[in-house]
Amino acid sequence: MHKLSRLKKYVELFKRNINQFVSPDVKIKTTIYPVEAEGAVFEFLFNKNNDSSEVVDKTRPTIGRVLSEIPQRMVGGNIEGVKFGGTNLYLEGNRIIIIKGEDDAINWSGNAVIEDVKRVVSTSQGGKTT
Amino acid sequence: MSDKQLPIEQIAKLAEDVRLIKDFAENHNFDTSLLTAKLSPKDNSSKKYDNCMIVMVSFICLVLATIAVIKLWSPPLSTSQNSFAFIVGLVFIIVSSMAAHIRFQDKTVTGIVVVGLLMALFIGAGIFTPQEAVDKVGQIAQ
Repeated sequence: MHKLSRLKKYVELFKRNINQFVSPDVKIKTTIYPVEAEGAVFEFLFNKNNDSSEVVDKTRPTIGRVLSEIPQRMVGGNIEGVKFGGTNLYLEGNRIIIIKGEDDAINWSGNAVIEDVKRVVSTSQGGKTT
Repeated sequence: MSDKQLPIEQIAKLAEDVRLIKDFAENHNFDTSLLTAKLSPKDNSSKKYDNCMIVMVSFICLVLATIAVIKLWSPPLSTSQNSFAFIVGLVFIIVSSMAAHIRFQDKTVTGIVVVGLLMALFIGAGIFTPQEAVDKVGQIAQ
């Protein structure tokens, strides 16, 4: 997914929905990693430095390439050979990485964003979601 | 055995390399103080309604009723009455499109509702013919 309007819309809706769970003094810095293939990667960095900026990184060929270039401990080994489906979440320290595996409209709708936020909140509190 | 067959070690390596990760969630010591989940007891006493959907559908019906009044009221409305009914129809369209936007959070859906209802009202009020309305929608879609 490298359709910038859709990627930005996802970020806008995600931030709008998750803000009801975020402490008032916490802001979210966002980095969007578009990819040529299906899917995209989003990085949400929670901070108390009043940083709500939104950065669109360069477009990479695959999700695997993105994950090989950003710090994460979710997938190791030959990441290029890994296929991603649905919505995958990785929470660590003060950041959340969301890996969207597919371009289907159903995965990017308003309801899908609400579902993603629910999963993020549940996972952040120790809940397991599939 | 064919020369093209892969050795078993290579097959094992390929199988390991091709993995599918779907709807996976992992928490690596996320700072729980950043997000607060509000817990509330399950409420069985009242059924939840989709208020935005109800408002949207109700106001779409009101727009249709306004069009019916403009078009079918007998004896026909005077010019000033027609104008007033038209303005009321516009207000109904604004409310229904706001409800649609809150409900679906999608500009495309909101756009379809607004354009569809406006065209219906314009045709009903005799401002556009159906052919002109189709042409306008085509232009907007482009």
